[in-house]
Amino acid sequence: MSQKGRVVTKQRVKKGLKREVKILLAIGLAAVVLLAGVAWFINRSAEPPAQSILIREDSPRIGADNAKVTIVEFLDPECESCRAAFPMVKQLLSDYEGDVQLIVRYFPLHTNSALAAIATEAAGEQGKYWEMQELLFQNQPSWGEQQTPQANLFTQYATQLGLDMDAFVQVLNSTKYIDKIQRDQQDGEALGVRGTPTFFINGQQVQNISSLPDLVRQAVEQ
Amino acid sequence: MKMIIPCSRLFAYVQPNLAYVAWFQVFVATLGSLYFSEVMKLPPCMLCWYQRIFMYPLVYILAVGIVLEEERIRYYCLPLSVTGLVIAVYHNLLYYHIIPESIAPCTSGISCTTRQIEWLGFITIPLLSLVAFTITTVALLLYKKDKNT
Repeated sequence: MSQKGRVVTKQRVKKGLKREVKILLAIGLAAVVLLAGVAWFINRSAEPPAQSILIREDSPRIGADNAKVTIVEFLDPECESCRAAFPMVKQLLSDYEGDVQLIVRYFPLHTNSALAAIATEAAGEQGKYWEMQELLFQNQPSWGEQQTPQANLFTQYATQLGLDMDAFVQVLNSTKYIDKIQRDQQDGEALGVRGTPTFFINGQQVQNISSLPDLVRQAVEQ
Repeated sequence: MKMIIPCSRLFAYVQPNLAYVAWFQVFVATLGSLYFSEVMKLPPCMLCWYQRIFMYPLVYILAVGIVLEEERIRYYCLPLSVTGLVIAVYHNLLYYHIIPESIAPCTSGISCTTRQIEWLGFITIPLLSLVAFTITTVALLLYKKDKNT
């Protein structure tokens, strides 16, 4: 009986695909079409992000206010990729001086991310925001990936910058910028930011970080 | 009585095809979850990974079983689908705060209770997983090969 069954099967294979295989292929195709339809429907009904939450009045910025190209960067001072992207961003700002403005938004993902962001803001109150940001990125291997607050190191960096230490420490220990950082993170989530660094060029999210220089050049030359 | 007879006839027709229903479900679930993570870039949480582990092999095991007209297909597939179902139930209990998150085994990466998607106000990823494992398990339990073919 089973021998006979096998012979029949072999004959069927010679004739073409087995009935079961055909049905599975048809179901598979139907599933792909169904999912593509659902994906299309979701993309279509997704509301475009409100641009008003992309840039806030109090967001730190560098470069000409009337610049042709606005880069918004959602960053985390403790994020290694942000550190890796930092020289590229700095280069862009100097290459296209006058044409590009950079606006920083926070998207903290690590233990010391928020405190580091506060340290940059505290330095910013004394006009040294970007210097502190650079110092934090440069020294990230010393203070990053730690499970305890690294306030001592941040204070040390502030000394290097010659800041008024009383004022700096007071801000660092205060909750003054907590709301701002949380709001930035919520804005980021609403805009579809999933990781750092995430760049927006004139409101358009950059999908591939390494394409940033090309996209900025195109936007400037447009 | 009159209602029962058509229903049982319908069931007699559906029953031998339930393996296809199960395969359709696991295939859709596999493609859908890959779409969430690879296209929409939503990071899968720890429990989602465990559910994926029990969902993905079913695409192949079920397909091979169907093609070979394996009558005992459910014995290969139910261990996977029931385990996945148990994890999905647990995940949904956490997700909807029916049991507290403090005992959740999510220590690194994204939290298992982070709400990433809420379509039409109630369709969430853990709910989709629960539905998928339920349909697969029920279909496999009720599946019976047609004696005539």
